[in-house]
Amino acid sequence: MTALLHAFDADGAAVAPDDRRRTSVHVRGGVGGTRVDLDELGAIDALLDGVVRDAGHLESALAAARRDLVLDAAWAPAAAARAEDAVDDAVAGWWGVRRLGEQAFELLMSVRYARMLYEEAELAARMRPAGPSWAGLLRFLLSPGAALAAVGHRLTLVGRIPGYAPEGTPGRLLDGAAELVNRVHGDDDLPPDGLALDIAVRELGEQGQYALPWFLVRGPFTYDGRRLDPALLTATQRLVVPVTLLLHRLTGRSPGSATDLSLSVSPPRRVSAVPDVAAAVDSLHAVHQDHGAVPGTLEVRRTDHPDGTRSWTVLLPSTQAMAPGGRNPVDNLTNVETYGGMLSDMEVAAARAMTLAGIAPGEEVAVLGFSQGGLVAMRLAADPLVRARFSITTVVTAGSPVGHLPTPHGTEVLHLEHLEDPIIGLDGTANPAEPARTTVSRSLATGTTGELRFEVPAGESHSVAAYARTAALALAAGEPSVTHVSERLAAVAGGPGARVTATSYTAERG
Amino acid sequence: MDGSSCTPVVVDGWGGAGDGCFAVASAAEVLGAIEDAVRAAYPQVWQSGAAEEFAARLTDLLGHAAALRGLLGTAQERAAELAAAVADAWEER
Repeated sequence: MTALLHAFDADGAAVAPDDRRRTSVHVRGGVGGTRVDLDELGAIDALLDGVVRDAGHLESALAAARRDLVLDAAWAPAAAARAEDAVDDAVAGWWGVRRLGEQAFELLMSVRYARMLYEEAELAARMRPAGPSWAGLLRFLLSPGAALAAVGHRLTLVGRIPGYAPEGTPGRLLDGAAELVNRVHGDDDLPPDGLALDIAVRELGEQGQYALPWFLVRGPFTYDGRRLDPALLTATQRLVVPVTLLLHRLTGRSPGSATDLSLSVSPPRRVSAVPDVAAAVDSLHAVHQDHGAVPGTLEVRRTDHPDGTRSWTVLLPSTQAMAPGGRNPVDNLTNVETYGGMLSDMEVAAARAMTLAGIAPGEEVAVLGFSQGGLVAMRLAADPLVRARFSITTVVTAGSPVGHLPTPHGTEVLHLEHLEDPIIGLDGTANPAEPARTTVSRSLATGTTGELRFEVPAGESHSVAAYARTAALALAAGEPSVTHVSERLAAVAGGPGARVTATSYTAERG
Repeated sequence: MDGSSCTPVVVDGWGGAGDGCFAVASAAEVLGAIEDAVRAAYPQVWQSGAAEEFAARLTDLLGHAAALRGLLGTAQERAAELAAAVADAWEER
């Protein structure tokens, strides 16, 4: 499934300009203030549901009235025609009840998705999931079917993966089951894929963590040169870490001890300074394969300020290779390593590139990553060895499942997420809202007037171009938290009179 | 809006003449419930840029409802004219 989703890890369709349309972005955390009352959102949902129903009743009543008017046409044809025209206008005209109902439905779905988003965030903030235990293992062993059923039940919420082209009988069965789910649930009751996957992955972790006797691990341990504390791992990480160890065993190497990771350097080139976070996200195209980047490439940009100081920006790419452990380290092995909070070859490559670029201690560094790049960015900024050498002050992620990773100390973090992006749901939790951690969420399905659609292709929801657009919309909306991070980022990545030089580094395993 | 402007037409042996006017009037009454619900949906506690955008969309919806009220008024006027014309035609017959 991961491979199928990542197959769409491209720019997707061009994003239509939102001129004369209203677009909502939801911002949590940071310096701005957002107040939400879930009960109120539920009440608004119910009111708008009623409006949609009443609009339907009004349209039906007008249709009945029109049938009555037609009966009168035999007595006064001209007057009947005028009356029928007026009723037609009230039903199907620009200001008619049909469009009113459609607009009310759009608004209902917009607030419903917002409610689901904030419910997930509230749950993540309050949830204290059960940890490893004998009892959990025993329950799992005695009743594995119940665990499977619980996960399957949550998976039924993931009813839409548009663009998914099934291959073979199992694929077609999966696709058919998803269609069936859509029909049973109805489009307007299903959460968007990003949230639905959050729920399903969380359940998978909570049930699956008991498949292994984690309770036997009594305390923190060191693996691959980094400390892992089982008590601080999330349930899904307790599933992923053993998988990672197994992959290390199978491939015969681990990033901490490997000596075969090479880094080739391309000649430096001048690039434009980025004025804000939207332009910074757009600059992630530079490390995107679809835009000609060599596989395994990351980029370090040096900003020379007019006052003689320097600052740096590191751009990290999204997953490029599906098979884990191949020559290209931008692969699924790096995904599971970073997801588990472990060292990865891409983290090693980025740190080495930063050293080769000549970043001096104390010089400000911003790290930007799309999808996997965001996971690596969060790991890089939190890694004690990297922090001892570099001063990473800003991290921006786009479409990255990083809600389970802690906020790196002393770093301002901005996450960009689309509710329909399935990749953001793989962390199984909402991003925490903290003063130094801002999340911008936007629904491509329901967030813009006149553009309601339940199936958003992953190529669009998980794309650099769409995330740059979301960042631009959040800035245009004057969201204080986003403006704050954007200004901070611009001070590092550009600014008036700054000269920016980009150097590409291509990592390859031996 | 109500059916007071509609002219009742009594047609012996066959119902339905002039009923369109009353039907339009009763349909228009539903709009009031819609407008009340939209007004009640303005958030009081929810505060954010998204909440402001949502409130602006509610205002758009109320604007639409006001325009629709105008259309329904026109429709009712014409339906009333039709009902009167039907009554006249029946009388002349």
